[in-house]
Order: sequence, then structure tokens, then C-alpha cells
Amino acid sequence: MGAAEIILIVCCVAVVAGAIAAAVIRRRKGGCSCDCASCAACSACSKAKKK
Amino acid sequence: MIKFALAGNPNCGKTTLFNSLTGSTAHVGNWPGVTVDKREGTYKKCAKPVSVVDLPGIYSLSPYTDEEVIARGYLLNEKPDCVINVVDVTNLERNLYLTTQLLELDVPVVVALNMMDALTKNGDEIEDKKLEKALGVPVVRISALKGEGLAELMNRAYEYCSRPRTGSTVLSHTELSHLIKDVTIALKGQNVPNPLFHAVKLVEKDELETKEHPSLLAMVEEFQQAHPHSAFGSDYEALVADARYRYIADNFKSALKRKSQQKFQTTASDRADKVLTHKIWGIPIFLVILFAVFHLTFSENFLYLGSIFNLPTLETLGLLDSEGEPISYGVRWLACLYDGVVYSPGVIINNIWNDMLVGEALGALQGVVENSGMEDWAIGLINSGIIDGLGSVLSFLPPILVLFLFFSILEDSGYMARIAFILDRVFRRFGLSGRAFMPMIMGFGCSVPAMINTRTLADEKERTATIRVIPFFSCGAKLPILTAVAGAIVAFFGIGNADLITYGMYLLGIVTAIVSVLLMRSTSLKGETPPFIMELPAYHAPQFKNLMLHLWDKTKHFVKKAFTIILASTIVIWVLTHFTFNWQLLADEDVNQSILAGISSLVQPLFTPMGFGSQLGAYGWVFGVAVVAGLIAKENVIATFGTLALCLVKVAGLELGGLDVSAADGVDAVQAMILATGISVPALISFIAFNMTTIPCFAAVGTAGAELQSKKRYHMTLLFWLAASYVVATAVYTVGTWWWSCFIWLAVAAAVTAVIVLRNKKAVKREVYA
Repeated sequence: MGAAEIILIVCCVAVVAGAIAAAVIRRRKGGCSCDCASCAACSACSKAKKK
Repeated sequence: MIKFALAGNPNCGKTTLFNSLTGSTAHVGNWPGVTVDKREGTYKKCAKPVSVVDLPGIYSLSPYTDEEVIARGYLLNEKPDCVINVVDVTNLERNLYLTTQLLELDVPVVVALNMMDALTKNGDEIEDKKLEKALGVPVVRISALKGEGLAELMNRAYEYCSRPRTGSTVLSHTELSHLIKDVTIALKGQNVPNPLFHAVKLVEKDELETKEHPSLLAMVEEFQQAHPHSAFGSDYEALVADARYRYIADNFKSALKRKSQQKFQTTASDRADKVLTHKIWGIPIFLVILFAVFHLTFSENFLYLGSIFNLPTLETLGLLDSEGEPISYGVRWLACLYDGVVYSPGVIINNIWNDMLVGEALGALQGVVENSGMEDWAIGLINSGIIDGLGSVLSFLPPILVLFLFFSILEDSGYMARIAFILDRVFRRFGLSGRAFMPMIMGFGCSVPAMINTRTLADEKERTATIRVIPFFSCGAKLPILTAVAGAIVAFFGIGNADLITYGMYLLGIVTAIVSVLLMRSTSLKGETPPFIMELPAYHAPQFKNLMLHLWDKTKHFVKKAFTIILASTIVIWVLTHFTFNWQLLADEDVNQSILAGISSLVQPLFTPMGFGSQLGAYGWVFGVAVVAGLIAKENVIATFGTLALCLVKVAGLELGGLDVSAADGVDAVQAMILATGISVPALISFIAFNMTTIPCFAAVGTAGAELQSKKRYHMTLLFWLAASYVVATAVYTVGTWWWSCFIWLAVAAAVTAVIVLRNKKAVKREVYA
């Protein structure tokens, strides 16, 4: 297995772990459960911040 | 930081003003009830930064609706440094009712006369100085839409907020003035802030006030008994409201000079409404407009010109070579617009995006990876897993944006509010008011804010029913499923039109919602349909800037989601389809030995009644995997097909017949599934129907749980979604495959209806005799 393959594996693990971690952190913070990432455009979220 | 609150009636332009002041892109819906909670931003052009809070639109500070409770709570408890009362100058009298209540607070108030552009366009005038003198607070003319007068407004508010202000009331010349004065003095003695405001509310016997100050209620009741009013008796709330409106009419009406002295003038909006909200033609017109939207987005035979005029194809015109490819770069561009048929604008943009831009780029990237010298599995992971998976989802960005653009135009123009009004007549028979329709329309964008928006529904049962049917209004994430499968049906089987299939599926969702509501409101969620009163906003041309901002936000959201959740999902799916349970690496051809194939084969029989289960043979498990992957994000359904397309093509030894599954095209990925599994058209339609009605994505499920606030109702909602999708998909498949089965379904529906009607009759009898 070469360097390119190792970098690929590390990146893939980082992407998957990052997606899971982001979802868990968002839930724990008690923020919006939506993953739309458009808080400023959402009329419903009381925690909407300016862009 | 200094805090300014924006308060005013619904649709007076608060959120537009908020966006202009803070640079935010908060959603401005041209219907009441869009803003359900407060929103904060910062204005940086004063000497010091100012925090601006956008409150929900309210007609008064009486606590009848959640919006009024939120706004009132903020104004009394958060103590803003200044309240900017946004007043729609074209509806002055009605808007000033709230102003008279805000003036009773001990807080600086600045009145912003908004929509000045509309006023001057009508040829009318306002004497703002006269108004300023009568109200006793600064009055500033603005147009939030045009961005006019905003700096002056903020500068005056900034200057004014430092001067303390004592509340004043317009009721000082009424029979209640002494009572109000006495209660105010009593409240001052108790060090209650905003004593005048609380005094007036106590006199009105406001629910919240009587709970907080029961000792002072006795004073009010004693006065009431001693001084009954000739017209209102002891209804002091009505007396106060009448007094306010009289004061407004006597003192402020003359400030507005109308060009036409005619009392009731028919406006262009009124004339349009005569047609668009017609008792009989309103709904057919809505269905035609909805069809037009889908036709403009998905049709591959725009206005059916190709069929009507029998237009020549590119091949007939000699513009294709012997292999059927365009002879030049220019012809490739022409092929995006025309090939014996004229494509609709949505399809043209889609063709350019996929064939000329993204398709070329991703194909080139895959070529680079192919020649990189990496190991085969790494090339497979990047090309099939990531690029094909992601690419199949990104290929749907154009139709999502085009459809979203058309819906935004309908919303911003004011037509969506009319649809709620028209459908109230229809929905009322099924137990929902037109008010419930607004969150459903938001569901066409995303189910999550739509479910949150159901907070505007006061009746809890109506709210629960609405939350349950919102996912049936296909959100933007489900559009790739609809588009890819519809496109594949047309391309592979040569039947139907993509726009008709997509339109039909949206209508199926709406019909499923209506039938579901009918069932729920006749059984577990029975209740009175609440009355529906709504202010219809005037029609206006959508703002280009707002539309583009919405599109940009939507694009960013879609791309971000693609490169996070969907990318992670395609990687996981690729890994699970290329390793055995012993973690041995598999070739593409051995996908049936993979972890995912093993697990999915166990649940494959569950999908048999719907046509995409055991009958699809060895590779049918792919559809089950796609459904489960769709729970994370609905786009994953097509991403799954994209990731697995090449595997199935190789393992099935299929003739591609013009398909290029490495081109990361969602439609081609579905065609590869059709080739590999032999799935029928009814089963494909059933697959769409199942995905449209089943449990939505985890984000929507979480939101439903938070909004329903009852674990029992939440679990019943999950069961409802599963049951509804199973029944609808099975019905679609069986009727599509064996047409005579429609009689069986009708008999079942008749039997269920009969049971419900009999049960309800028994329940009514029991109530009568009880």
C-alpha cells in the first residue's frame, strides 16, 4: 500500500468520523436538528445568526 | 450592546427591514406566520453596533396566539432600548392599533412608516409630521424593499433611545381613564415596570395580567359593577378596543391623503383575486399553474412543440456522426437545447450542467485517477464510490434550483397565500384549515422548517395531523429520486413524459396527505376544524435580489450536504459492498458476497409486496439498501445507485447499450439498476411512492419528535409513516401490475370507510344519550 492509498484511507475515515461527530455535537448543543446549514435563512430557528 | 426590537403587524415588512439592516437572508414569506420566533442580527452603521431583533408579526399585545406571547414576553422581559414599530402605511388605521399599545410601554418607540414606495405609486400622501406630533414619538418614512430611509431611521432611533420615556395612552379621554390611573398608581406602588401598560391590560382583564396581579383585579371588578357601560356592559376589552379605533379614526386618519376619495377602490390585486381565488376555477387554475411549473422544469418536449410540428432530429439534419455523437462542439451545445424536441428551460440547464460542465469535469477526473497508478481498490473507491456516488446527486442540482426558483416566485408574489385560502374550502371538509396548508407548502422545500412552522397552528390535533403529512409533500432532497427514476423510465422503457410522471407523483403525495388527514381526523385525531382568518397580502413582483439570495443559499446548502453527509454515506456504502464479513477485499464482480448484500438480502423479502423485493432476484437488495441509506438523507437513494451502478453492470455482464455508468449520471445509474434487476415500471413507480411517503430523513424525524412533545404521538407518527408508505407503494405496484386489483383496493377502502362511519355514529349516539 503506497502513500496515496494511506492518505485516501485517512481522508475517508476523517470524512465519515467528521460527519458523525458533527451530528452528535449539534444534537448535544441543543441547536436546530436540521442539517440545512441555512440558519440565517430559516424563519423558524430562534438561534439563527447573521451570516 | 444596544438592542432595538422590530414590532409590527404580520406582512408589514419587518423581516425585509431586518434583512436590509443586518445583511441577513432571513426568509421573507409573503404570507403571515412565516416568522414564528424572534431572530437577532447586528446593525453596524451607528456610532456603536446595535443588536436588532425581528419579532413575529402581531396585531396586538393580547396573548391569544404564540406569536403575541413571544413578542409581548420579549418587550416586557428583555427590555429593549428602543422599539421600532414598523407600520404598513398602506393600511395605516389597522397598523396603528398595535402602535397605541406599544406607546403604553415605558420604552422609547420610533414609528417606521414602511412601504412608502407603494404609497407614492398609488398617488397617495402621508403627513408624517402631523402623525409625529399626534403620537408624540419620532416618525420616519422608509421603504425596506427599496432600502430607502433606513439610515435615517436607525440614526433617529439611536439618538432617541438614550432619552427615557414614560408610557402614554390614547384612553385618557375615555370613561376608563380614572380606573386606569388608579390601577397605574397601585402598580407603581408595587414597583411594577411598565405600570401603565399593565394597568390597561388589567382593565381589559387580560389573562396573563389577572394571573400576575390578582389583588388588583378586585379593584377593576368593583369599578365594573359600579359603572356598567351602555354598549359593552362589562366587556372592557371590547370597550378599550373600540376606544382605540375611535381615537385612531379621529386623530390619525386625516394624516393620510388618498388620491382617490372613493371609499372602496378595486386594486389590481383585487381584480387578480377575482380570477385566482374563484369559487369554482380557483383550484383548477392552481393545478394548471403547478403543472406549468413542472413542465418548465422537467419537460423534454417543451409546449409539445416537437410532437405538434414534427420537428427534425439532429440525426435527420445530419448533425450526428456514424456513432450518433454530435459532429462538433457547437452541435454538442445545440444538443442541450434541441433534438427533434425543444427542451424546457429546466432540462436545458440540466443538460448543459451535466453534459458540458460537470460530466466533462468528473469524467476527466476519473481518467486522471484511472492513470494514477494507485491500487485497484483505491481507484474503485474514488471513481465508483466517491465520484459516481456524489456525481449522481450533484447532477440534480439544476432541476432542484429551477423548481425552487419557481416555488419562490409563487411565494414571493403572494400567490401561495391565495392557495391557502382556496384550499381551506377543500381541506376544511377533511378536518384541516387552510392555515395548515402553509407549513405543507414549506414541505416542498424541506420538512424540517415546515414542521417547526406548524407552531402557528393553535389546535394540537390539527398540528399533529399536519406534521404527519408534511413528508408527503416531497422535499427538495427527494427530487433526485423522482427525477432520476422518472427519467430512467422514459429513457429505458420509452414510455411517458418525465414531467408528467413527476407531476403525477407530486399529486399522489398531495392525495395521500388528504386521505391520511381524513382518516386521522375521523379517528384518533378527531376534533373541530379551527376557523381560518388570514390577511391576504397584495400581489407584487418578486424581488430579483431576494430570489437570487434564496437560490444561492439553497445551492450552498445542497453542495455542503453533498460533500459532508452524502460523501460520508457513499464511502460507507462502498466499503460495505467491497468487504466480506471477514474483512476480505472483494472485486466489483463479487458484490453479492459483501456485508451489505448479506444484510440487505435478509430484509429484501419485506419489499416484495411493493415490487422491489425478492422478485428482483440476486441483485434486488440494492433497492433495500437505497431505502435505508435514504433515512440519513434522501439524496442518498440516488447516491447509492450511483455507487453501485458499476458493480452491478460488471457482475451482471450487461450490455451497456449507450449507458455510460462512469459518467456519474443519476438517470444512467437507475437504468443500470433496471438492467441488472429487471425491475418493472409499476415497481419503479412504487419505489418512488414508497420513498415519498416513508419515514423522512433523520433530521425531520428528530424535528417531529421535538415538535410533537408526546412520546406516544411521536411513536405513532413513525408507525404511521411506515404503514402509509407500505400501503401506498403496495397499491401502486399491484394496480400497475394487475389492473383489476383496483377493485380489491376500492373494496378495502369502502370497508374501512364503513367501519369509521359506523364507529363515529355510535360515538355520537353515546354522547347524545350520555
